[in-house]
Amino acid sequence: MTGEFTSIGKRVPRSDGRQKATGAFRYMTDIPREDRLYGALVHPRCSHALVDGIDVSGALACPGVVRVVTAKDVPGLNRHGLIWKDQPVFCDRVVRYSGDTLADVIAVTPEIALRAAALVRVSLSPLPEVLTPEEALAQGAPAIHDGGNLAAEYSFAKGDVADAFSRSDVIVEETFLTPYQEHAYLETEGGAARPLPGGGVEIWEGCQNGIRAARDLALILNVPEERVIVHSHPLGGGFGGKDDLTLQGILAVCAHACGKPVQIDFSREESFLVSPKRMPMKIRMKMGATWEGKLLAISVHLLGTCGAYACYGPAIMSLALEHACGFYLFPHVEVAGELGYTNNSLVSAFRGFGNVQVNFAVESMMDMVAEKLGMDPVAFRRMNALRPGVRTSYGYLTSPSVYADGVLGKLEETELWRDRESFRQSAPKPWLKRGVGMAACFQGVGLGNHCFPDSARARVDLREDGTFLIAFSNEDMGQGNVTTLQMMAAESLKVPLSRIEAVCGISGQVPESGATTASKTTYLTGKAVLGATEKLLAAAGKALGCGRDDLVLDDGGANGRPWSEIYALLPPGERSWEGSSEFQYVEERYDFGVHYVYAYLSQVAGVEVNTLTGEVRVLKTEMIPASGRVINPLGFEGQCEGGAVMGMGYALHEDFSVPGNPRGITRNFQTYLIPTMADMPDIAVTAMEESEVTGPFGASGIGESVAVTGSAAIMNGVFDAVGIRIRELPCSRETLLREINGNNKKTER
Amino acid sequence: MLHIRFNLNGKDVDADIHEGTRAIDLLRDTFELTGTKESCGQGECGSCTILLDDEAIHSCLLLAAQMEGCRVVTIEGLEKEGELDALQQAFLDAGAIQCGYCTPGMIMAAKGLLLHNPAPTAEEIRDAMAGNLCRCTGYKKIGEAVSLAADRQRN
Ligand code: FES
Ligand code: FES
Repeated sequence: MTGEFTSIGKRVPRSDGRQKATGAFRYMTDIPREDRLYGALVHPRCSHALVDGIDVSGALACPGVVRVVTAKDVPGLNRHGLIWKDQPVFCDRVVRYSGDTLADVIAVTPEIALRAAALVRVSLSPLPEVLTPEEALAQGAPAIHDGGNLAAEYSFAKGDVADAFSRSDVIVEETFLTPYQEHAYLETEGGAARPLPGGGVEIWEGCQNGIRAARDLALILNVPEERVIVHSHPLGGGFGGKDDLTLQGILAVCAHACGKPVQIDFSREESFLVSPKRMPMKIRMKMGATWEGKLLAISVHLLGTCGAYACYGPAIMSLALEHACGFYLFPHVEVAGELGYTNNSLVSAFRGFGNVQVNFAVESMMDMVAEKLGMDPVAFRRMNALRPGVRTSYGYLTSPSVYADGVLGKLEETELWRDRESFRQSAPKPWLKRGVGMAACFQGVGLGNHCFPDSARARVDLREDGTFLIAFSNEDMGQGNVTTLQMMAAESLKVPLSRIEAVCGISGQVPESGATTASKTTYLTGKAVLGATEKLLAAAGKALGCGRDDLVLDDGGANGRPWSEIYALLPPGERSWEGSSEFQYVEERYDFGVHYVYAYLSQVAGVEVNTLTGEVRVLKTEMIPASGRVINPLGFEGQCEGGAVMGMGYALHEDFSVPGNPRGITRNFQTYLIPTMADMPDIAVTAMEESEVTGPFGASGIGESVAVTGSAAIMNGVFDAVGIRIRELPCSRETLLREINGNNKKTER
Repeated sequence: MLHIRFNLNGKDVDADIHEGTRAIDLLRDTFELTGTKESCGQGECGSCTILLDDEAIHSCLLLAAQMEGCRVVTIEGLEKEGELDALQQAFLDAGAIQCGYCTPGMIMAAKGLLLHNPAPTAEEIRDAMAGNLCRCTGYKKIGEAVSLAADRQRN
């Protein structure tokens, strides 16, 4: 399959790997600390209050304290936000969640800053706390924002749902609950800013969209955009949690106010307190089907919260509704979602955003309907799956590269699925029950047509020595996009990978290629890189006196001339080229956004339930991703394996707890359990490399779909093992044990 | 103030420290060895793992004073004359690195394991490394990298 390619499809170690393995790699939190000051933030002790006053005299009296920065020091707009600018950099009038920032104490050492921060006296008049979206959207609820507590609501209806349910032979109606999930990237938020001579700042903090951050910071500082330089690459993990500003606004204001460089590093506890989580959701779903196994109708209601500020909340609700029917075809549809502000943890982008929650519901429901029908769950899915050229449940046409049936068919061929009976029988002890479950998904690639235009630019420079530099803005948070884009450039120029250097994540110095999010960099920025290399090849053709089509590329040059010679032949203005790309959108417009390009994936999981302890272990799992051609199998598998384990954590352990007390009881890794190597299942990945016809080299995006199907596949496996249907994540030992004890008959399968 | 001497990555060094200074801060701030990472500061993630007299240990829970007279190896001390340690090479080859923030701690934990057990089973690798968190890789390739390094070292 890789025969026609020189770079693509090779298992390539990532280009920054050697530096990462030797410790030489510098994250933004590692930059040597020359003459700089340190900040420690003051957060409120409650989650909803009026700010009456902030007394900083005690802190200022501490030797070593230089200044205490508050809302008064913000020179421009004291607001930021991905969709709406509703989040203050420093709280001014109102506290809306316990991770808000009231003040930053700046001192000569971090220790002094921290001690002095405890001496800042804040007078607050408590307001009633609104902790759940139910409370928030109830009549007469205290308003968190001037416009009320409804952050967004979207809906869509098609056909006659009531009539279709009355004609259905089988109906399943259920309510599912999903938890807050913490990104738990290992590098906590942190970095530094320094004032620029003549106004503005230069800032170093890992972020998934440095150029947009620079734009927001310019508004906050009230300076022209070019007076803000943001270094946003690399990141020690992001997963969506570093898409918005984290500390940059505070750092910028402090550096500006102090006239000196300022550094702030979050502890794990502060990161957990302040940072956004995955949106918790209450999902009501009803499905109807005929005895023959044809789906007739679906009704879905989603209730979620974005926390105290909108963040990416509306986009997540939009994506959840878009994916709420799975990739199945329902002739009659009604879906609706409501998003409420609460005084709880912030909620924003998180790998697979929106889809992760609804997929748990849809794929559990598909199993439940199949069971009622007495049908094989995969056969039932295949009967109702989207096909190329067929309109989705909402009525739009996607890219013809539809692999819904494909990933289901391949799943049927996996050993675990074929031999599931022997897996069930393989439990070594009578109290251990084994079962096999599966789930499938599609995942829109890119942001869709909801809130932002989604385009990318990239540049390629031919350099004097015959090597190339590619430039784009997308940061690498670990997913490996830099290596992937280098490979694409190397392929299109037919030069060894070592000839392609890459630069990214410095605002003002690289072309804007959009947020590094939504599984889109390989696809969108990949196309922009290829656009740029094509222009360079055309120019080279001209310089060599032939057309682009007559250019014969070989290992180090074209038409027998090395690239260093071609450099000399090219006019100076033709050695550097920019390419751009845009997503294609569907013609139809909905309340919420939809996509044209989707990635597909199915997953099978072999689980073991300990009926004495309620513990669930995933012993084996196999993933079948279809996201077009695989550019770098090593990185691709890494995404799948990491996603599988992250999905498993969501299903079984991860529950960022914010009960009653919005400050929450989850503070660190002692109480927030992410999977460890001891929990790791046996993971296999079999990519379906059918091409995405609209993608660069036929690729689409893999980053998110891999984290989507885990919970349903595992819970369907739990049902297969012990006959218990889990409707609330994570599947706690207590719940499972209670159900097992109350339901002993069913465990004797 | 205390004055301590120890061997750091093969060199004898000394430093003036406060009683409460943590080993990780001394390594990162004074010696500028920023390969050692802090991710939790509470002994829960393993990102800060170093070797103290050949034992893998969390440098966020270690006082700098406890390094007195010891042999300390950080991730920066593994590469010998431009040649990567077998573990570093194996992590690279096996694709065990993504964001890389856990990598130094992972490699040092694995180093500690291989020093005591040059031929660990997959099970022993899991047990020894279960205290090191990684949010990116799903651990599979990390386990494979450790086995690969052990194999290469023996052959
Ligand atoms: S930083 Fe030391 S164990 Fe986490
Ligand atoms: S590679 Fe990112 S935490 Fe391990």
